[in-house]
Amino acid sequence: MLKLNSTQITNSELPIIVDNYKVLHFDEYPILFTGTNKYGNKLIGSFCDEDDNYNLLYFVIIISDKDFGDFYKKKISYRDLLRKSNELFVLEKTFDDRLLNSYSVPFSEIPVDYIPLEKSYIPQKFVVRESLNYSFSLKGKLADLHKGLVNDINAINTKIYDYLSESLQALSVFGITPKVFSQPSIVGSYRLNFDIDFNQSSQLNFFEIDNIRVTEFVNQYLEYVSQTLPNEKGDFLLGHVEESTNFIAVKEKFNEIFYSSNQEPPKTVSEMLVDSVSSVAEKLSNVSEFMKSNDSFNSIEVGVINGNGQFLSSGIIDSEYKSLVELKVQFPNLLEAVNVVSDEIPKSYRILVYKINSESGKGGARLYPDSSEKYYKITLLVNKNKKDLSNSLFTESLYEDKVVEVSGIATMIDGSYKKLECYL
Amino acid sequence: MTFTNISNNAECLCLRDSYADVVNIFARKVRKAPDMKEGDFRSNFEKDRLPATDSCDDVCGIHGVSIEIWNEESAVTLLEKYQTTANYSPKYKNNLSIFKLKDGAGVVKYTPNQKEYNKFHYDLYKEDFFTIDHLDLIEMIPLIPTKDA
Repeated sequence: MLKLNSTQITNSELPIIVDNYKVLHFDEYPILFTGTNKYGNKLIGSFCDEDDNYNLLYFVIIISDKDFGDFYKKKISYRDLLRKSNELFVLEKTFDDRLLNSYSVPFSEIPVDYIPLEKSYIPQKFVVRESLNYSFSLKGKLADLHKGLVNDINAINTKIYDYLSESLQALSVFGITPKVFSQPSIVGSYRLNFDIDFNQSSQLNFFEIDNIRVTEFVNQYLEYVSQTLPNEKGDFLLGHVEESTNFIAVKEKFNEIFYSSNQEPPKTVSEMLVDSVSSVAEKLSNVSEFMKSNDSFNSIEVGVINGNGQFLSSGIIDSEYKSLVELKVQFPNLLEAVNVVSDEIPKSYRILVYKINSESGKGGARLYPDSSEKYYKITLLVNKNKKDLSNSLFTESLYEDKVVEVSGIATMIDGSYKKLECYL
Repeated sequence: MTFTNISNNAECLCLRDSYADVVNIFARKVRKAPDMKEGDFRSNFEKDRLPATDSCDDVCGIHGVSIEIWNEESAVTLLEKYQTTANYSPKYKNNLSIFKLKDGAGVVKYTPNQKEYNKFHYDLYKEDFFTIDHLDLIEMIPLIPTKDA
């Protein structure tokens, strides 16, 4: 029996659900439920036991918007939510739902046989399906009054669009051409909504892509860049990526797209992602920097919209983002370079392309200076001359994971190859 | 069979549409294994609980013991529901008794309209002198795999 004592009784109204009550699992009693208290905090609770007087005991905790979203996305179990909660309440109620007592009990004092099981995830029918409907909720300043200056809103719309578009460049290796659409805002909030749709290019359609895997990857990737990257170790993208379990998880999601199509991932996957994470973090830094200089908002809550139009938060981006990530990513810094040397005439180079934008011709590659396995990571710039990049040596290298010989002008900085400019 | 414990305490015709059923198999979650205990077959009325409203559905509901029919159609669905419950409330009634009623146990009434509609739900109205021996235990299923039945 759960031992409760009078010293644990609390008058706090924090665990009392007054709105948005929703039963997620019912079996004789409401077994698992969510709701909000009078202060607007999100609550989750469960039926625990009957006491000696046949009154009903419930666990209730307050959870953050991020944890609430993660629970609905089946990323965290109810057990883990209880374990990480700062304060666990036990409510004693009558059969007709009258509150008798509310207790504040440390999780450590809950007997182990009362603790929910490891598989206590949200019931499957409530799981929010992975989608590419993103919402950016502006916070602070005018946005809290559901207002915003037109110039500020236009600017942030463009910066978020650039951020999302850049993140989708990682998919170019699959011949996927994504489009980012703006969606109508919801009345009563200042949210900028975007929807991503993608098609496989018929010209580059070498193998069928599993759209669900792509969706899962994009979601995990965006969450990684916006929420996890700021907490990674310093300069980890400069050669220490394999030490990060979070980065490895993103890489595995990326590889799953290949495996689901019976393809072996290319050996350059880590470089593709490192390059891409740097570019996307730079775009997101532009979003974060803009928060310092506008009059309409000072932070953005990022989330997804589920099938019922409910906003599920993935976390906050604020003006500190750039300062947290700039030491970890590879923003170009040519100003500090001492010795910059470029070829005077085009020369022949062996390269392995791991990223290329078929529209702009910009990409990334390994440059092999000799016949050994030694290589330099370089920025690739292909001047298309209005020609189609689709069936070129560059795309052949990318899609077939093959070293090719091309002609171009290389730039070395302080003795290292950094850039190769080619003509189609 | 006599049902004065019910008829003396309810101004509704609770036994209307009820019938004796010693053929079908039923299920109910219980606290202890391997045997069933009378404590697990107490009605809400016997637990001094009051009906939520004065409606006959609620009044009769507190005199019945909730059971669910256990057959080919229901077994998988019910087991999944009970195991899901055990994930969140592992301590509460974590064994599932599968049983038949014997002669004289009482009568059953089909009552699917619960707080959440349940097409497998029946109320068992126990006869005045009901004991646990009026139930024929067929199987006791532990709902937490590591727990011994």
